Amino acid sequence: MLGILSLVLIAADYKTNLTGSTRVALSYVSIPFYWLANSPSNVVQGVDSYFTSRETLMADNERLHSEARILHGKLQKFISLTAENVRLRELLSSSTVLQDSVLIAELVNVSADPLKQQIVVNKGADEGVYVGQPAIDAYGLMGQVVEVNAQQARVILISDSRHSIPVQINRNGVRAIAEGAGRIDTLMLPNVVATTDIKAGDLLVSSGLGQRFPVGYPVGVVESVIQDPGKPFLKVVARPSAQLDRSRFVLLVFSGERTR
Amino acid sequence: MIRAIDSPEIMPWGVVAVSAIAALVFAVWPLPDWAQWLRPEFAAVIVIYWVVAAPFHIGMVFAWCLGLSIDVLEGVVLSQNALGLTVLAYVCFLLHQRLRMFGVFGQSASVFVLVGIHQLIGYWVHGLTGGSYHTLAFLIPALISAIIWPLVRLFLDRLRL
Repeated sequence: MLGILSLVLIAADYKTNLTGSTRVALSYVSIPFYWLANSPSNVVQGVDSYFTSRETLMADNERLHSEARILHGKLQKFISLTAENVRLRELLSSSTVLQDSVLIAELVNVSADPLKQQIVVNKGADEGVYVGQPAIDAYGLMGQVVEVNAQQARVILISDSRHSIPVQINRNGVRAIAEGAGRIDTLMLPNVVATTDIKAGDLLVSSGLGQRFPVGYPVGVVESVIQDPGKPFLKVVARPSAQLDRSRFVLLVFSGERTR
Repeated sequence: MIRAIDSPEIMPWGVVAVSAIAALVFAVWPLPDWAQWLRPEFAAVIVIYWVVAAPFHIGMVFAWCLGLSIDVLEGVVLSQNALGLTVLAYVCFLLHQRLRMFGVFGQSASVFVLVGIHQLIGYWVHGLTGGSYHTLAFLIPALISAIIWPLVRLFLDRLRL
């Protein structure tokens, strides 16, 4: 009888969204467990940073200041490019794209099931995080938010086998879809016709189609393009740009609405 | 070795609660990348232990609730682990007298098979709900659980006394 209940619950959770609110309510209970599981490494890190030498801190400070200065300098060019972009779009009478703002969140838990690539971050609905919100790190797109409670959010990574993202090749604008393969370092592009102009080393960026991810963020780099003469499609394997297995901080993107 | 048989009055619910909470904490304990597959299934191990030790007090409801908690913690489809642990509890209930009679290696081998069944059910549900990553490595946690079984059994036996 419990077995039948379980099967019904699996079907309900997978096919419908009925169990959503129950999951959110139950996920509040998981917060102390994540905290407990993280506490040893947090304690070690706290002690370690308490005992850092003053020289190290000053050197880090200098390095970060000069990095910030360089980035600010590059940003000035970016601001003028954005303004020029807006003017050109107005000339063409096409819709303008507003700037995205970001919220920094820290990784609290990585999914224990190695067949799933999901992470939990420590910002939730209290900070405005919503289901479907894209997540990036400093190097590229990481994934999107699938579940939110008041204080935490669960993010599915682009390398999860149930996730796909529409991309385009940066070099020539050719569109494709990048699916996760279940491994943290691999993206597959299925259904790429053999005559497509794609080669190893191409940068894949998000194309914005699907209205889920903002346009232009790097998704991955093509690693290999294998053509099997008997098959109509290429086998394209890409490596995600984001450091999916290493990033501790995740940026949650609030996309500006498209206006007309 | 035979595990101690419980009499109805002295059911150690405190130890049951502590072992359940420890299983939940170990389910989300951060492990380095190379050890992702080496996590033993503590929830399955303690379900086996308690159903065999007290089959008429701890049964499928306990396993189902524990499995549901693990599902929420891990973020998988609800009742994926609940189904696996419930089936596990049922099988252990049917075999509880025999499992008590086995020696160390016999019990470890049985734990390997039982946790393997639990892993297989989880793997099936994962495949049915859209996952497409195929590997036989899902049995490695069963192996690790079988290896740590004697330690867990000794530890829980001591905790009850």
